[in-house]
Amino acid sequence: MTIEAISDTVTRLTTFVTNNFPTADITPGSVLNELLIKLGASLQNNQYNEVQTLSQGVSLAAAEASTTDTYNTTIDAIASNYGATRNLGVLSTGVIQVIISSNQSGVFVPVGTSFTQPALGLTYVTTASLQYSSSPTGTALQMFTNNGVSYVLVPVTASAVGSNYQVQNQAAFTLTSGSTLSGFVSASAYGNFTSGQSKETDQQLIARFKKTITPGSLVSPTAITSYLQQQLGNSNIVLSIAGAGDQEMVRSKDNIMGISTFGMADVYIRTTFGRETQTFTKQATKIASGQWLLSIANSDAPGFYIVTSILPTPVSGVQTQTGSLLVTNTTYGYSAYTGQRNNIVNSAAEARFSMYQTASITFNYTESPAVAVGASASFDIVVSGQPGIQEAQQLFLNDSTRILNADYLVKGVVPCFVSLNIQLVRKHATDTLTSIGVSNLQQDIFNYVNTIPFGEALSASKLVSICHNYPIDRVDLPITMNGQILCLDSTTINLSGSDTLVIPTSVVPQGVSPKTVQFFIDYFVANSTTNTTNNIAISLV
Amino acid sequence: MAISGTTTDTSGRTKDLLIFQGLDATKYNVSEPINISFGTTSAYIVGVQKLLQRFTILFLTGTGSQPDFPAFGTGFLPSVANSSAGLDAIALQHIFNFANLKLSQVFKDFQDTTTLTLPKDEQLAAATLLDFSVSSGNLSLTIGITSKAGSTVQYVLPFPIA
Repeated sequence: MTIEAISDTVTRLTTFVTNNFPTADITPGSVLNELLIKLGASLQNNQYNEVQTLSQGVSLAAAEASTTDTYNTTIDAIASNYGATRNLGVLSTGVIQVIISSNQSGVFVPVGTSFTQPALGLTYVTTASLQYSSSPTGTALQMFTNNGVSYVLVPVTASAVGSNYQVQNQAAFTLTSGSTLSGFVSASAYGNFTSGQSKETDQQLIARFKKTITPGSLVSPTAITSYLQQQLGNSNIVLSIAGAGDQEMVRSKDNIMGISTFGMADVYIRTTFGRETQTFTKQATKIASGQWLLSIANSDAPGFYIVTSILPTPVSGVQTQTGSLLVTNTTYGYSAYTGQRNNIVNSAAEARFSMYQTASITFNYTESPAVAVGASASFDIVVSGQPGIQEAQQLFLNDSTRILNADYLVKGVVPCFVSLNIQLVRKHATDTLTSIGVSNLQQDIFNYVNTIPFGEALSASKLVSICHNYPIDRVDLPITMNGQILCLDSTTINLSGSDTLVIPTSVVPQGVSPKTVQFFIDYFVANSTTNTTNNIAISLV
Repeated sequence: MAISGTTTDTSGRTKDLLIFQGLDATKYNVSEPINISFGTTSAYIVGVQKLLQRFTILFLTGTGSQPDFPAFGTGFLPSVANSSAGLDAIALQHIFNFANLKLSQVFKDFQDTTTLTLPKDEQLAAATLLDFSVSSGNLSLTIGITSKAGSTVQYVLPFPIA
């Protein structure tokens, strides 16, 4: 569908008038131009585009053939016949750590206070007024201090729907022009933001409800994808299934004969663009001087990828540590849930990234005042991973939806974390990163890498193609692409390349193959407790 | 208003509607106030009258006041309305100059790129603010318009600012 710009409508009307009334003056500023052309164009432009939009709903084929994203209410009506409703998108949410002048005992954050990530140009707002205090009473929230630095944790919501709004831990923020905050010093992301979702297009909606027409909602990858998207309300979900006869299916061979018993499938699922973080509090036990041990149960953070930080739980808002305590050892395990149906899982590697995964973590901590070995204390744990692993698994275990003769184990996809370094050659001497729209380019690359389908390589030529959507002379090759795969056996595989990044196959014991791995890229990577660097590094020469 | 060379011969010219009522082409070397309306009798205009009408419409339209054409117009009227400190000659000259600069560029771009054949007296060469007066909540501008035909016309543009 071609949307007509108002200038095109003006041209169309001008041509018509010129051809039919050649003596009428319709030059800019003329009375006839003001009264006839402009008013007519404003009216006709809306009507023309409305008709164009409606014409897309005449048939599904027309909507599918559209070269632009369309959101036609006629398609909504057709989809409703199959029990499918359009996903209107989800706002990314997160928490911003705001450093406040240390001479303040409290701060009021009004609703609508806006923060901007300056490199990306993305804005986020508060959705409620919040009062913070060093000694909170009533509904007031805790204002924290850490080594003399005062800060508050402000929940925010993206200003628009879209998966590109997910920023990572420690990403810097500024107050948006027009917003003020008493005592504001600086701000940064406190943990990864959630993965937002873009509004579902007609093409995506049609593809989804067509899948639901397929009989048997949990028997094929496409039907399972559609079912999970519908049940979990998440159109970002993609998955890959390793089943009978697939080399990735090693779980079914865990028997004395080493022969596949069939009836099993591993569902590698991706629910978000980037990783999300989850924070929870656990008790840890002191096991030696300066050494502590804590256990993460299967239900604490089902299927998490890694622990990103451990800090003592603040007492009366006072935190004494910065960054994270040093983790010296992590041992993954697995355990079943009592009182419910469980999948067959025989090893920690099989359970990795599933809801059965557990972990024992040893870390260094010198407390003050010192406590005896065997004493316990409370710690705040931050893990990164993908949400919805447990909810997806339960759909395969539920009496009303499960496949009776099969064991479907849901796992998060094996992640390959990517970083890029791209050098662009400017077209004009006066071009700058800002003038070429580098923030939008970074978002386009973020969207491309995080949506590469299973089995496809990360391609430098596609990155070049994306770059050429912006006013540059050329891309200076080679592009540096690095990746690190977090394997099921807790080892890592490093990749690098300038043409493509291809997922290798190393099924046993690492569980790595193009069928199980997906690429992830973050905008930023934390390189210290307070600083970040661009993970999608773009420079201009 | 000295509209030298005013013509009623519309052959070979495109015609616009007259909305600047009150002009008398027989009076020379005086500034005449104009009254913006269609008048009791509709009339066509061509030539320099059409030019100054187009100039004034663009000049008085506030930038952004037309939602579909946000770049159309100038910041003259909004700037005058927001001049809380009162208008003096220097401030008004600056406000006029900024608006005039934009209009000159708009006219020049159009005149240079249009495929239409524009008579010389319908093409803008320059515009100047000759005088102004403020009284009883009204601002009157005396504007001079020079066409590419070489003639300069001047007219008084009164409008309320209170």
